[in-house]
Amino acid sequence: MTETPTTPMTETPPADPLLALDRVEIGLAADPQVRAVDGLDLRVAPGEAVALVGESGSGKSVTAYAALGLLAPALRASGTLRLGASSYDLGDPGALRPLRGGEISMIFQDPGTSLNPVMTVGRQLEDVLRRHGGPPRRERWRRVVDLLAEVGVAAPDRVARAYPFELSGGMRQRVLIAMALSCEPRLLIADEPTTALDTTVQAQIMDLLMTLVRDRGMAMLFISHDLGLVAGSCRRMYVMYAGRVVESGPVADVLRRPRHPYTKALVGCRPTADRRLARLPSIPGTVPPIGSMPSGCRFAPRCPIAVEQCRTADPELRAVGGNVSVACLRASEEES
Amino acid sequence: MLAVRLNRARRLGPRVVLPLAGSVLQAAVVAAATFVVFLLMRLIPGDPARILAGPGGSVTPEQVERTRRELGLDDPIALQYWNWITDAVRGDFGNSLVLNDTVAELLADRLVITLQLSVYAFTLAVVLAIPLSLVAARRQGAIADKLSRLAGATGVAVPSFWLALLLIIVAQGVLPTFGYAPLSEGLGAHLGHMLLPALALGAGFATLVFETTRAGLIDTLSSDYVRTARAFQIPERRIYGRYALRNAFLPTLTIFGLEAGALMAGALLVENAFALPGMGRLIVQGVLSRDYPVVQACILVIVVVFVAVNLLMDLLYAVVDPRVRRSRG
Repeated sequence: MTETPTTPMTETPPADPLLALDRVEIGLAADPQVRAVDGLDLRVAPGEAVALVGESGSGKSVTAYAALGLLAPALRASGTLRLGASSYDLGDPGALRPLRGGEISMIFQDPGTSLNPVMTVGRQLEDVLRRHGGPPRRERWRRVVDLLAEVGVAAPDRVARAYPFELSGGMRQRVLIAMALSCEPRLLIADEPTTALDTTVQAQIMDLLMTLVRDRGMAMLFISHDLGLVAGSCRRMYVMYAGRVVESGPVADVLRRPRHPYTKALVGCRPTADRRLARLPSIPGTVPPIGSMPSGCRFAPRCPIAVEQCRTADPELRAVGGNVSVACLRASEEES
Repeated sequence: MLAVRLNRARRLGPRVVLPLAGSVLQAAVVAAATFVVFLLMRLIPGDPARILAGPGGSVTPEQVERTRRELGLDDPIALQYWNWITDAVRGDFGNSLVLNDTVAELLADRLVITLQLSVYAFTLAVVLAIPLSLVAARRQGAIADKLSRLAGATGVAVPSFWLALLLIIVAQGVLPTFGYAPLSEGLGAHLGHMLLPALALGAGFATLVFETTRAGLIDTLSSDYVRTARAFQIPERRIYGRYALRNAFLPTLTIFGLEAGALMAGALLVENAFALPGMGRLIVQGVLSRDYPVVQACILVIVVVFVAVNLLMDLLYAVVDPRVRRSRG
């Protein structure tokens, strides 16, 4: 993935954001004390590409689903979502429904299962167009074919008539991206859009996404665990661990000089060509299961520099200069 | 059956092979089932030649032997079967050994009644079960879901003939519980006589359809593609129809095919409870009086209906699921 600075983007958290998530908490409906996400704040400026990074189980995908009111029935969210001038309660999924598609579109991790297997992709695109004020019926198919051409499908006429099982993974993801574009949203949430794809296809899809974001001035919240993709596509990033943001700031700064030991470990896990290693590095231990969070800092049990105080005091996210914020008691000490 | 045929189709490729292989297979099913029944009938103690030749001890062995020869019962069994099946294919089911009529004549009216009963029971079951499964899957764990599941469990546990007796007792004086009214007596009278039998016959089947569809719906409603549809505000009604139910329907179609035989067999019992002059009584009489041609023809009809319904389900599978349809091309 090449480094392509795209839209004119700010590196500071935007003062006038397009999307603001405040005090997001996501827990089990049966037991709200068991939380997958615990007090998350997040900002995305108009036209800005922001990354949300973390291991599996860190709460990044559920955060995205909560923003659209699409959580599984067993989960419940609280907190507020602001989009432009309007404010919404995350605890009321029905209220978020009008945002879906037109304001915020989402593409998903597994394009293989995200399309209805018994409808042609063209008909599914038509369904979305009909819902979102697309062209009148007679011109709708034309628009479907145009949309597919726009996302780089070589034979859009043929693909529109195909069923999902007749298409490759990359092609299906293009169809889903076309679906998202058809609504002309202000924000695109991309939930690990390339995880299920081959590396070469992965690069093509990322290029397509970045081109679309740049050309349309669309904001993007890019959810990934792949720091390489994040470095090539986003300006700002949030690092999540066990349901909390542990570090946020400009991508270049965070990756060049990670301050939180978890971010450090993540960056250290990236294999590079000039470092030959006997085995791939990994972070010892696993993310604590929700419901049995350690007291104090949640990373402390896996942290190489944890001290006694880390196991009792819960660190707040605090600015450490250069627009970077870190939730670690030891961050500044280590700095000096 | 479907999977086997699809594999074969994939290997051999051409479009022609599949229907051909299918009909060969289905013809084999019909032949095998009728042959087994043919043999079984002859294992039942009692000699039709002796019964026909005359009552009690007044007949001589020679007379019995002559009758047997006239009926062709002294031929090898394979030859008897061959003669019977080749005639049957041409629509000639022979004469009843006991009743003074051709089997085709005897069967025609009764088959209509049995088929009517089965079709009504099927329709009633589907009309009740599919909407209920939608309600139950939508409000999983709610009162409506729990009640319909309880009713469902009862439906499976209660045999159709017992339910028939229960319905007769309960509906006594409200609905006709006895006999048959042909369509010529008016649609109301006809359906009135058929309602309780159809209910008794359809209850167990409805339960299977309900449980299968409900489980399928719960599965598809939490699928990724339904989530996608919701993420784009596709109206819930369309999500339930085009996205969830359409995909959940595939296992239900299999149930339709598998249960077609059970439905016909159940019809024979229910007919007896409600004194409907269908095939049920004909078969029972036929077995008791060793009336081979009648029983064989009845079984042939049931097997053919069963095979035809399953063929229809295979075709419907292809209509509902493009993966089946297009992998043939």
